[in-house]
Amino acid sequence: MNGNGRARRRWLYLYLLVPFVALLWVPFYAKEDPKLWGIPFFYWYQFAWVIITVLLLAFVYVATRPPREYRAPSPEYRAPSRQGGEPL
Amino acid sequence: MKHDTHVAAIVIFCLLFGFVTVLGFVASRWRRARLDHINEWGLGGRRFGNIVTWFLLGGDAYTAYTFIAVPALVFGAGALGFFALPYTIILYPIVFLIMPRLWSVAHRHGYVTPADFVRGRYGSGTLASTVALTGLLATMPYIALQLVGIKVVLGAMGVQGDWPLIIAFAVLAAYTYNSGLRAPALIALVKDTLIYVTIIVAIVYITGKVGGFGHIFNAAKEQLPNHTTATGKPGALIPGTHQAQTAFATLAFGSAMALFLYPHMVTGTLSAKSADVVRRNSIVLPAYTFLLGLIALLGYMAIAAGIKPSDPNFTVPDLFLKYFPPWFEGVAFAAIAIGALVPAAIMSIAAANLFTRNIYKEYLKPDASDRTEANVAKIMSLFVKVGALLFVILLPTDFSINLQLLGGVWILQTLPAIVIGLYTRFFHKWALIAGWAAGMSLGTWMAVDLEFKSSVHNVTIGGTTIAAYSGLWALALNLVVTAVLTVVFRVVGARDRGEDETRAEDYEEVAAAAGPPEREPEAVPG
Repeated sequence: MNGNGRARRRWLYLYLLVPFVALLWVPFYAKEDPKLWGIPFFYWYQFAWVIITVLLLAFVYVATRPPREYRAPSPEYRAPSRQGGEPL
Repeated sequence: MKHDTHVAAIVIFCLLFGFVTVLGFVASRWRRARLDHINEWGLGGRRFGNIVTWFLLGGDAYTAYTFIAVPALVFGAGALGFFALPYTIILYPIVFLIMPRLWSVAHRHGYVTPADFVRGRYGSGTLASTVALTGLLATMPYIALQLVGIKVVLGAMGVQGDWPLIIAFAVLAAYTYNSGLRAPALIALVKDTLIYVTIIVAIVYITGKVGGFGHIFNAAKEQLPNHTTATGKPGALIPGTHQAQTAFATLAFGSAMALFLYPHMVTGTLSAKSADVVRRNSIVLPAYTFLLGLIALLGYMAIAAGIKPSDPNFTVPDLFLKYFPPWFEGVAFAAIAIGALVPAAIMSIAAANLFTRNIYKEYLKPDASDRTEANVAKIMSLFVKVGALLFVILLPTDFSINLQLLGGVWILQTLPAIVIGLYTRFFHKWALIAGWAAGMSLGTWMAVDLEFKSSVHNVTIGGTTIAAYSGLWALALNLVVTAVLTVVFRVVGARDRGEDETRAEDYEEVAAAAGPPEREPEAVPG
């Protein structure tokens, strides 16, 4: 296998730009209607994006995870001194 | 509203406060280690798994003051206060991408603070102490603000005077000194449980009492135009003007970029046991964002309930006083006060780490042993707290609030050195310092120009006036200066003698390029 798994599917990170566009372009959601349970669009739209962002993050996390055999074992922390710049 | 002494609430409050105090001291025995090493005292041994990290970072980012200030802003200004929601949503894609890199390089080289990384990357003690000093300046008023949060809830229960505040902080100082980062990590579990319970009860119970969401939003729509913000503008339910919209978006974006540059957020991140824990946490931390949105709604509920707070900070306490029975007031106020202790502890630890690693060790005693480092940090954490306490007792509350706003603008100016530094060593170290100075000056000038009433400054470019977060304007200037000077320095051949001690692979935690690990990979870390 060539290189690490995370590097191969790095383009998937582009999905993480979606919340930026959806939330920073305010004219898109600065309106009152349609309402949901009496809550103006401006507000429930933002709450909805909390959930959508979680789903996007979870998807990107799973999709960019390297295959199991390539994952680093969780290293026990060995307190290095500041000078101890050598890789563990 | 006049605040009488609420005995039942005070009793419950004191019981919960006493419980977390015991927890704070017991924390030193948790995953026992020698607390005379800065990695143990100041980073909890870098061993926190998914769940502890979640509580720790959540407790760290969503502070007591947030719970007081966000609904207060929503109560006065309406929609603008909701910028907290997009802010804490787009935060997580940023954390997901950037923080694992910082964790990895810090783990590889034993960095404890963001300035340690800058020192290693740019080989410059000057640049590192500039970053450290900015961190200290930004953190101090943030700690003071947590005290303001405690002061507000004590005031709401009718407790007057400075003594209760001094006692609360002395207790906090004692167990932070004793247990280090383990104390807030353990207390965060209690804090968040209390906060979640309080808010869910408030939303379900008060919404019902006031008459449902439809009624709450209608009341807000009707009355917001009569409310005014600090700048004298009327409030609004929907940001209608172009100015209001750019202010909303840039505040959200700038704040999201700034949050994880704060030393206390870096401390929380580096105490995780792996980069994967950081990544997973960025997926589940938005649960707090949802909660924060509900808390923001309390501002509108207060409008619908006809609350008339004497000071905007009392919006939420007064709402609770109106609807909750006394014993539950105690729970709710304890939740807010304990919510102040957790971040205050982490902030003072982060500030102490910065001072020890990047000022004391850099200039005063370069050969300090690990033990000396830990001792200096412990003592420094006491000084930081005393400083914050004096700040709140001696100066008007507005002072801490103004300085905290400015702190956000300042900390953003360390982005080129830290965040861009995680990806490239392109920038010249002196260009980074010049850019930082330009950004700090512009940001501070803008705040003074606005008389600290707002963080949104108008700038006219080519005939168009744009209203945006002053921190972003300052960052833009900072980046331009840094980039232009880097090119100039390279052209004239000014040497950047700083050695970069990091290598490209230090930033990737997965040792995959080298093939499968020799050890059997264990199941799921955590």
